[in-house]
Amino acid sequence: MNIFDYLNINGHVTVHKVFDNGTEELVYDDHNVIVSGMGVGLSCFFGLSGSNSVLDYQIDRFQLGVSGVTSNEVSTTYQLSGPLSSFSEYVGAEGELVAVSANQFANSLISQPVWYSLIPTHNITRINEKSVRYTLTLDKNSCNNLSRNGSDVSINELGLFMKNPFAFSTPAPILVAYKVISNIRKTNDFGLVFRWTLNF
Amino acid sequence: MIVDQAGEIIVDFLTLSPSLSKIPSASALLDTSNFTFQAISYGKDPSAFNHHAHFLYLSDYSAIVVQSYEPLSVSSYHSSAIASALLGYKLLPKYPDPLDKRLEKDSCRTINSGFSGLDVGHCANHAIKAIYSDNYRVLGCFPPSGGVDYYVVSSYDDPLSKIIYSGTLSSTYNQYGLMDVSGFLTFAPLNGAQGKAAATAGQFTSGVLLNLPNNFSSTGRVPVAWRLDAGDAGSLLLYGGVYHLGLWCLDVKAMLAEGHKPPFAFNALNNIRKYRLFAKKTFNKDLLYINDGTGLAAGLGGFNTLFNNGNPPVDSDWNKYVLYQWTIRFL
Repeated sequence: MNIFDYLNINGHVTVHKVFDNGTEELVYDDHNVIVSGMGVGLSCFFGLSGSNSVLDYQIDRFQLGVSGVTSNEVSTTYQLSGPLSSFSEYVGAEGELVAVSANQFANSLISQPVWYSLIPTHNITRINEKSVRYTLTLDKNSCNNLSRNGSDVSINELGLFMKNPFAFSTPAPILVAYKVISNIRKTNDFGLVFRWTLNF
Repeated sequence: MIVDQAGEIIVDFLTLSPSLSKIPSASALLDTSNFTFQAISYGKDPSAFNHHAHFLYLSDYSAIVVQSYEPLSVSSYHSSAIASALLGYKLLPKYPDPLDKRLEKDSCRTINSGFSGLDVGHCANHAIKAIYSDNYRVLGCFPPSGGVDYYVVSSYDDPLSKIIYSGTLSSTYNQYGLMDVSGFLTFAPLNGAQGKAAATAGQFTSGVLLNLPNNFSSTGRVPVAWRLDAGDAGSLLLYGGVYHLGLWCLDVKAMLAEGHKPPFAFNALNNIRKYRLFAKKTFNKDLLYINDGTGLAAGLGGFNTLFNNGNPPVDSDWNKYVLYQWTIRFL
């Protein structure tokens, strides 16, 4: 048995649309998949073989994607199928997301730089002794009207990333949790709030 | 078993505020060592803390005394034999529970002749503290570095006339200052690669090692390795054996609450460290049980074998020890 079996490490995601009048509409509510990257990060932490700073093991960023398929909801998944690929896809012209480019540690390799959105520290909340909730907020001006090859696409996958467990000089985050959701065509009519809770 | 507290430790570091890095007096809290493995402990069933060598206190003799439960012709003592020797004595430890916060929930305090020892849920190391200098031989569970005599006797009735085996025990843990009074065996201040090199070279005198393989990130396996030298092993054997192992991280909140600030250095004599249980392993047979038939028949097996025939090993003679490796799987 590994630590996931003993502790029953799991997660849960809810997605709400948020409208200008403050109302929220629940559009998705399901468990997630903790992927092998979490085990890699934890073994690096407890094996004293990566960064000496706790901050490098924190989950401080996420990705959104447009090519999610449920067959990817397995523990061996190490990257999103079709992550947003540019600053403008995340932030657009007036969005408030903080998007950064960094490498990715995926399948034991360091990838070319990809884009992430940072999770503000105040959106990382300990909700009990063994649970932490990440609140990912997309304002109404972020991630709008996405397209691929001239066709409209919807947000349908998301992932959480550990910052830089191996202490690479150029940070290389690693995917630790993954979720495919139903298609959400994001427009400036609403914002989105992802409440992602990990239970240890 | 990885206990529930392990999840709390993980959430602790996942939710630590990055703003601490800007505060000089608090930035050390962000060091991973505050949350990684820091100690090992040995345990046994609670009632054992008032049996075995915890039972008889002889104020006139500076020796550990224990009654053998083997036939008199056998110069061996092992705790597993006691199961059928004492009516009503339960040998087995408590079953492991995910909610456990120590190795044994029930009292593990030795009470004898008007004095008592520590109750930490596992085997303490009273010999290291001067306040226990008169009675550490009963409180246990490790000998001093300078050595202490032991007698395995056939009867508690006039025991010193009924010695069937004797010798001297000395503690390597105490010689190198690796264990505090509460019985926490500290980890060497080495990272995974350094730990592997030390383990490969057999250098265990700086503490417990992370014997990390090169492919750890693909296997998710973190092996923890340490050595139990014959002097310490023999002592644990006399006090009832080893039925639990505990793997501990630091309890940062408890230390901060007491006014301590990081880095929380280990000091065997005056240890400020508080610990939180991360994992435990419980056994239904003494880990130190030796069933050396050939040796027993010749009167040289079991206990005698462990003790290198009466000559506890020195640095250059590490051929008598128990080597433990406990692998925690993260994948």
